[in-house]
Amino acid sequence: MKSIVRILARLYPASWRARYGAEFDVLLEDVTPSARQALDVFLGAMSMQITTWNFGKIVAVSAVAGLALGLHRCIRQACGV
Amino acid sequence: VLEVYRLWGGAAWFENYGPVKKCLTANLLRHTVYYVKGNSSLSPPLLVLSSLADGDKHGYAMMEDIESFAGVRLGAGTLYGAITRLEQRGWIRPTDPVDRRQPYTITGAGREHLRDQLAELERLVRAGQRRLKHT
Repeated sequence: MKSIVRILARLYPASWRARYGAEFDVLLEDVTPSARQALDVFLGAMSMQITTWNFGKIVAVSAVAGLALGLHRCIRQACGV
Repeated sequence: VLEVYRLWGGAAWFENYGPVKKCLTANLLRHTVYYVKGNSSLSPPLLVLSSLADGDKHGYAMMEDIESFAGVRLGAGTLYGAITRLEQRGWIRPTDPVDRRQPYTITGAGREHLRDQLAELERLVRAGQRRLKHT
């Protein structure tokens, strides 16, 4: 579990990791690794990623997400589900 | 993208999603947030400021302290999200590292903000308690 949490910590933006990465890694060594910690680190990384995105990136990601959902819907319709 | 959105069914898709699935999705989200954040209405930045009002602490010491006085165990991601926001606003600042750990201290502006927040909470608690007595 500790290695999973460490991998998830790499999902933080590079600028954030340059400032807080070292101390955050020390904190992760101190805490007891668990599924709850892993999920918390993942959500923290996603939240921090979104705060560093510019308008163009938000539009691009929304478009890709919309496309993926649309394709999912098309496939479901084609399969008659 | 618009064509795919039309095929997808747009907003109508969610309405046709089915009340059971909709309810399951909402519950899943609610339980995920509860699982990660715990059943606490206290905001992590307020908890961090309250912890630092007592003296300088590094991340793990803050987690332990917050658990002891508020009964909330903050996750590492939640704690550092709060630390990032507080430092950006100038309410806390890092001090000299101790054994690879980075302690933080509350600034004058942070102390002032904490005072305002606690006064606001106190007003809310008093009003709530007064109203509970009348019911």
